[in-house]
Amino acid sequence: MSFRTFRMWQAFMGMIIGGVMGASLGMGNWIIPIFTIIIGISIMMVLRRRVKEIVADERNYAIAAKAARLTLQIVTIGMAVVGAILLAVSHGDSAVLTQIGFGLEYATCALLVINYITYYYYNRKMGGRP
Amino acid sequence: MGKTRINNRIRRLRFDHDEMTQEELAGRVGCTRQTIIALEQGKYVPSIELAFKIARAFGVTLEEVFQYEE
Repeated sequence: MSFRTFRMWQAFMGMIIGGVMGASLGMGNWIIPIFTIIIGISIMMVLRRRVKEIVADERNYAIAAKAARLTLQIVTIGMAVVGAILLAVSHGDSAVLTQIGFGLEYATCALLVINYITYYYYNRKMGGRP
Repeated sequence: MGKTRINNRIRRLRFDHDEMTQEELAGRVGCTRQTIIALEQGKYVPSIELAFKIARAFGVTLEEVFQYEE
């Protein structure tokens, strides 16, 4: 299978999954979307293995790593700043703003902790000292 | 990513080897055509493994493909 054909199947499956999920959630059914996603991902994994072309190599992975690192920096700094602003603006009076502010701050902490753990893991794996 | 200090002769070597296409070279070394293009433009520095594969595809030594500017 060519990569182009795979992308067509990917778009088609995306439309099917989106349609089924939208219809199911509209009817208040949350079980069908879960199975739909699982089945859709399984089908895409099988199709992906049939693609004979090399679609991603070391350069693609290097680009993805740089993009992920920059995204993490932007998102964590942005969330921390916005969260701090919301907390400062709410003065504890607005429950909604306070909740959102704390939510953003805790999410920032969670991202940084996960990043620390994954960095530690790969550092050890690649010969770094703990 | 700007120009690197590592030059290469991949394009010249391709032409010298029966005008090998970028697609053919990519298939031989196990990377994408876009990576070969980036290499020839000096916008990407390959890993040692890929560099060795490229040299082996041309049947030459690593230094005959890649040169490091002091």
